[in-house]
Amino acid sequence: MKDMDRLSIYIAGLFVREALYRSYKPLSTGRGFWRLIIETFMPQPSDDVATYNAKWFIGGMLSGLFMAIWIPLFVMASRSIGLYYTSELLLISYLTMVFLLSIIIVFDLIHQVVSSIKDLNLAEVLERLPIDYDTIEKAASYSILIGGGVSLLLGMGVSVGLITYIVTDNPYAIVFVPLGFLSSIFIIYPISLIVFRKVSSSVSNMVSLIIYTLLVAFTIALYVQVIGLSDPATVYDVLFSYRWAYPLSFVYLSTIGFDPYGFISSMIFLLIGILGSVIIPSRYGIKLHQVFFEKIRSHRIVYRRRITLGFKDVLLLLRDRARSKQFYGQIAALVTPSIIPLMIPRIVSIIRATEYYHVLFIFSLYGLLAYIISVIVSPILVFIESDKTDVLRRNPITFPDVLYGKVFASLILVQPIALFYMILTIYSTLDPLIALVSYYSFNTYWIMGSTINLLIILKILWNNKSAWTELSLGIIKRLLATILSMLPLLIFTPFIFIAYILDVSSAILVSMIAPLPIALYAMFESLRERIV
Amino acid sequence: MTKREYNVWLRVLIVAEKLYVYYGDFPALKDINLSIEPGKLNILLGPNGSGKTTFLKTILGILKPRHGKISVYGFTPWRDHVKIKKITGYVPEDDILYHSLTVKEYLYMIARIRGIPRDMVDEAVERMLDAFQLRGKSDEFIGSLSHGYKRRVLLAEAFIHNPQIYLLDEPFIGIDPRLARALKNVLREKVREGKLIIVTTHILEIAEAIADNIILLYNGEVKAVGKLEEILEEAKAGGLEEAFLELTMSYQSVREIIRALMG
Repeated sequence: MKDMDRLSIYIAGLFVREALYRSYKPLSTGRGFWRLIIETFMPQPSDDVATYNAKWFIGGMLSGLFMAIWIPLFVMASRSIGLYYTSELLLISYLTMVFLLSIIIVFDLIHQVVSSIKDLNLAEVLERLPIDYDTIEKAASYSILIGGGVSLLLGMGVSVGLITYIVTDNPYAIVFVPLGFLSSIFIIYPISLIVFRKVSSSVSNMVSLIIYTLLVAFTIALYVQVIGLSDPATVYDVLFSYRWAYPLSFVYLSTIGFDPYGFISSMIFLLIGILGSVIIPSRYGIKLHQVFFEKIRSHRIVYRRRITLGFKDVLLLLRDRARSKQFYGQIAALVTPSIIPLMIPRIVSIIRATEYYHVLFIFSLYGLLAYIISVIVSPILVFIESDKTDVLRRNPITFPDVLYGKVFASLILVQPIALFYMILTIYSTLDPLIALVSYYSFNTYWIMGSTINLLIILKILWNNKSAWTELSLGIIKRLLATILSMLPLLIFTPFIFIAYILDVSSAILVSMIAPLPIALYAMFESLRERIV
Repeated sequence: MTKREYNVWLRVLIVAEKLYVYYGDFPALKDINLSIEPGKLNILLGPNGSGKTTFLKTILGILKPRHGKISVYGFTPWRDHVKIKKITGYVPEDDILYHSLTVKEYLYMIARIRGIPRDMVDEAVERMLDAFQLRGKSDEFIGSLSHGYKRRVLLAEAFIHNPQIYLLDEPFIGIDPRLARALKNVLREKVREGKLIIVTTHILEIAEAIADNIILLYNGEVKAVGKLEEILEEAKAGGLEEAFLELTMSYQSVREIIRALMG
């Protein structure tokens, strides 16, 4: 096809190969069985396009399995106690959310690819060759498609589709869930290319970050409002009435069954997406130049050693357009569903009428959410090191220095969210004490989650002498790290709920004390001054 | 350890014995036996890929040897690397720096990481900005600096804490003649102060001009060690270039390069 610039696609392949090589040179692959596993399941620089895409597909399937494995368990449980509609509603809400999450995943992928190309200076090598800069920028945008983004989402779609089929007995789910995922990437990808090119590069980093975060929060809020908070009849009504709209056409076909309107709409979305993904990248490449020629007032980062390292991470993240959007975009996506109820007057009046200790308990549970979010977003603070890890290696910096510096950085970076929660809690409860408890819970659980997750991620990457990127961790290791990080939460959450059944005040106490040892230890360690 | 051996140990601060370092299955350093003393300007000389950077990284504890021993101030580098890095100023070959920090922010961070007390950080940073003529660039992002200025930032990073050991990997590449001359004089002064200095280079003129002790590396092996005169005598050569080609048996490859370039 004329629009698919051959040279750009060739360069896109080079970008992917180079990013893979720089993320794990042979030095870091280890030996024996572990090396065999890594080479079999993780994309390698020596792989051709088909092979590493196949590996991304498998990785996507595992992620999809992880995302949806609890659905059949929950549906079976609710059906066994006669709540048939609940399970149907859950599935519809879940699929809608998953399709929307795939949009966030696509944005995240674009940020990852742009960050990798920029951080690793992949374009610089080509700038001195007689290649038009447009071609290099187009290559950057193509590398999102051929670099594994499509395969990853397709893999996720296949897993979620199979699980949906098991639950609904609707064979269309096997086809239309993966097609829904594909449509997500094919529709969002060209739109985001235009946005990146036209809007993101012309406004300041902070403005573009706020716009992006609000956009993510608004999208999620809209769907949570429509799907999550209505009664079954309304949900079916909305689903039927809007079965021509994206992503509800795919949800309808996957849960209810075949419908000509839904089918035609879905195919049109897919077709528009494919055409957009072919045509738009050939017109709008990703802007790669991020030139910092302006002078600024330098921050005097002179604190205790680990805090100084933490502030370094804060500055690196906030000054990186792609990474900061990735960080706050993920937080916005995960936080929004829990914020919406607190903005609905009907729910607020119920909260205000509820017994004091129960309200206190509910708000202390925001810590659990903070824990989950911290596990998901904290790794970004490792990936901002990218190919600059040599700075850590050539200076007297230990593993704990990096770990506790990053824990501190993540705590600083999440403060706008934690404070927003506190203000919202004051508004909905009219009680400063409850607000303080929710702020305390948010922060202590956040510290615990980020400490455990960063400990695991850094343990995996510490001896990796090449760049630290998403590629060097790979999907399997990242999933493993996420599951391991969630284990403490899985262990003490039941204790908190058992305590709640027995006595509310003791449940509050358990929930408040649980994260304290690790949080205190991490804060104490981040204040440590001595080098060795 | 006898008293005599102990006295030798005190004087000789870096000792490598039968040292082998590998990249995967590739031996980057082979059977290295060296004693390096302070109070001398040690030049690690060798062509590209001879193992100079690998040796410096092994001294610093970034790379772990597969066989043999290495001791720095009595420490084992790969095990006690933080202690060694604390007393070392290292200039790497590549300009790896955080691009989105300003020069001043980066130096503040390095000063604190290297343990300079908080009330002395400003003075140390200001001194480095003046010494390496970075004052005009202090509030600019490192990513916007030219290669030469990035090298200056790396030199400032190495000198900021007045270390005991200087490991400088190709420090004269990319800096202007004024700074190069100043650096040579400073290194000479540091030698007089009894600091341990190892400078790598593949430029023979620099080695000839400043070396007290030359270590010639080729294909990961030490081919010659000694003063300039001793190396010339060993190679029976009139100049260092001739000695270098003789000791590394490179005459044939020089002829091949000329033939290829001339077509």
